[in-house]
Amino acid sequence: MSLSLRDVVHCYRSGGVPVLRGVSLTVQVGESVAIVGPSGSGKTTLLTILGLLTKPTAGVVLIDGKTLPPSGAELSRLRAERFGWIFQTANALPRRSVLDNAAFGLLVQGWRRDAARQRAREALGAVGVGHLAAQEARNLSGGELQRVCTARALAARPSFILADEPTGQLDHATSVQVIAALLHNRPYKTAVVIATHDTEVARECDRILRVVDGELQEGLG
Amino acid sequence: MSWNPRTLMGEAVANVRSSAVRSAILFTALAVALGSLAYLEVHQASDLLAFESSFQSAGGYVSIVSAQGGVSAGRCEGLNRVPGVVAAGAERAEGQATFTSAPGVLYQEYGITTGLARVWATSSSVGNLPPTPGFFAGTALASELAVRGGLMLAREGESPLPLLAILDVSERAPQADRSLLEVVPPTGNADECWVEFTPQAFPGGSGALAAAFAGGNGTPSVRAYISPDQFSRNPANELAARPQRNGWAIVALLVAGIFVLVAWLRRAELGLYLALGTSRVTLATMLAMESWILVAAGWLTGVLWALAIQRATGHALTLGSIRLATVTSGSAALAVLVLAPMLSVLVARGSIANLLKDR
Repeated sequence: MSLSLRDVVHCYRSGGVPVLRGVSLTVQVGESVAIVGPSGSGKTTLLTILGLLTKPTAGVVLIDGKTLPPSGAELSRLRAERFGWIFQTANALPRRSVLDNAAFGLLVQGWRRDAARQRAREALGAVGVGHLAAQEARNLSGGELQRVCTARALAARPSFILADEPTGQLDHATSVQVIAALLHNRPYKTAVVIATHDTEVARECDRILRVVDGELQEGLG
Repeated sequence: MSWNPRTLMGEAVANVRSSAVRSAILFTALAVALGSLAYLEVHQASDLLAFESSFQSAGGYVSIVSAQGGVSAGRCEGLNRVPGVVAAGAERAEGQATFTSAPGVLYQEYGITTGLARVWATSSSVGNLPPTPGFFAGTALASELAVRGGLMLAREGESPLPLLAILDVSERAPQADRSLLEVVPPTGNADECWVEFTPQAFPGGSGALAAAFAGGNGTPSVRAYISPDQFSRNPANELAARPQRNGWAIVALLVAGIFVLVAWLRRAELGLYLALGTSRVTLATMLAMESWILVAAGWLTGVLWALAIQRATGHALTLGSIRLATVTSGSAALAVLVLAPMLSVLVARGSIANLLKDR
C-alpha cells in the first residue's frame, strides 16, 4: 500500500504565491517519514493534502497507485479507513470523555461503541493516559490531550497516520513516550508521516524530507 | 464502512447530553418560540371557534330560498346530495287547526319535509326525523299543552296520529318552538327551502342557490337566515386570516437560524467529524438526530406551557383550539427538523482543513 503525490501545486488564493510547487512524494506502508521546515513553509498544507483534507490546486494524489474517487462519500470512506490524524492543535470533542474521543476513529469506521471502547482503552494505555479514560477531554492538559489524539489515531489502525507537530506541546519524557508508541511500538503495519520542528523526533523516522520554498528536499539540510 | 446507525444515534444523544449549556439554549429557544406560537393559536382560536360554534348553532350558515309561487320541495330535498350542504329541507305552513287534545286553543301547524328536520340536527335533542306519520311538538308548545311523546293527537275530523317526540328548536327556529310539526314527503311546492352549508361552502353555495331554483314558479330570492347586523363578524374568515396561520414558517426560519448559528460555533467540531471520515450526509443525519431530540422536547414543553397558561388565565380550552395549536406549532417544528440539519451542514462546506483551524 502506498500514498503518493505527483507534481502537487497549492495556492491558497487564486493567482497567489504557491505554498507547494510541484511536490512529488511516495510513502509506503510501514515506513516513517518526517517533514521538516520553518513555520509557514507548507508542512501542514502538505499533510492535509496527503490526508485528503485539502484538494491541491494542481497535481494528483494517488492511493495504491489509483487516483482519488470523485464522490464525496467515497473520499469519506477512504479518510475513515486509511487515515489517522494527530493535529497540531489537539482537535478533540472537548465535552466528551477521553475514552469516547479515543474510540472516535473506530466509530466512524462502523464499529459498535462497546467494541470500539475496548480497543480504545488499549490505545490509551499504550500512550500512558489509560487512567484518564473517564475524564472529560476539556479537563486535560494540552500534552495529555495530544496523547489522547495519538491514541485515537493508533486505535483505528489506519494505513497512514499523519501527525502535525505531535510533540509540540509535550515535555521531553512524554514526547519520548508518544514517539515510541507512534514509531517503534506500532502493533500493526502502518506508515507514519510527521510534520515537525523537532530534529530529534525527525531523526527517529526512516526518512526526512525538508520543505524549502515550496519544494521537497531529502534530509535535514 | 461508515457509522453504525445505532451508534450514530448514540453519538447524537451523547452530543446533546454532554453540551448541556448549548442544548439548554436550543431547548429554551424552541420551547419559547413554539410555545408562543401554540399559545397564540390556542388563545385566539378558542375565542374564534366558540364564536363560530355559536354562529353555526344560530344558523349562521343557513340560507332560505323562497319564490312568489313557492319552491319545489323535491328540488330542495335533492340539495342534500350536494357536497358542502349539511342539510336541506322545505317548509310548508299549513295554517291554523284545532286539536282535540287542547280544546279551545289554536296553534299554528306546519308541515315540514324530512330534510328540514336534518337542518336542525345540529341541536342534540332533534336527531334525524323518521318519515313516520305523526307529529312533533316544539318544547314551548309541549310545555303549554302538557303533552309528551307517545300521546295521540287528532286534528278535527281526522284520525289520531302519535306525537313522536318533543323537539328543542328554540335556538335555531324560535317560531317553530310553539308549533306542531308534521313530517310530509317532499312533493309539490313548499313555501321556503332552508339550506345549511358547511362554513367553507357557505359563501359560494348560498350564491348559487337562486340558479338552482330557476325555472320554477316566480323568481327565487335567497336570504341569509341570520341577518348581517346580528353577526357583523365572520368567524370562518377570521380563522383563515389569523396571522399565526402562516407565522409558523417565520418561527421555523428563526429557530432554524439559531441552529445554524450554533452549528457555526461548532464548525471545528464538525470539521473533526469530517476529517476523520464522516460523510456530509452522515453528518447531516447526526445533526438531524440531535435536532429531533431537542425539537421534540421543546415542542412538547412549549405546547404544554401554552395550554397551561391558557387554562391558568381562565380562558376556554377546546379540543378544536388544542388541535389548531398542535398542528400550527407542529408544522413549525417539522420545518425546523428539515431546515436545521440542511442549513447546518452548509456551515461545514468547503475545505475541512480550514474548518479545523476555526477554533
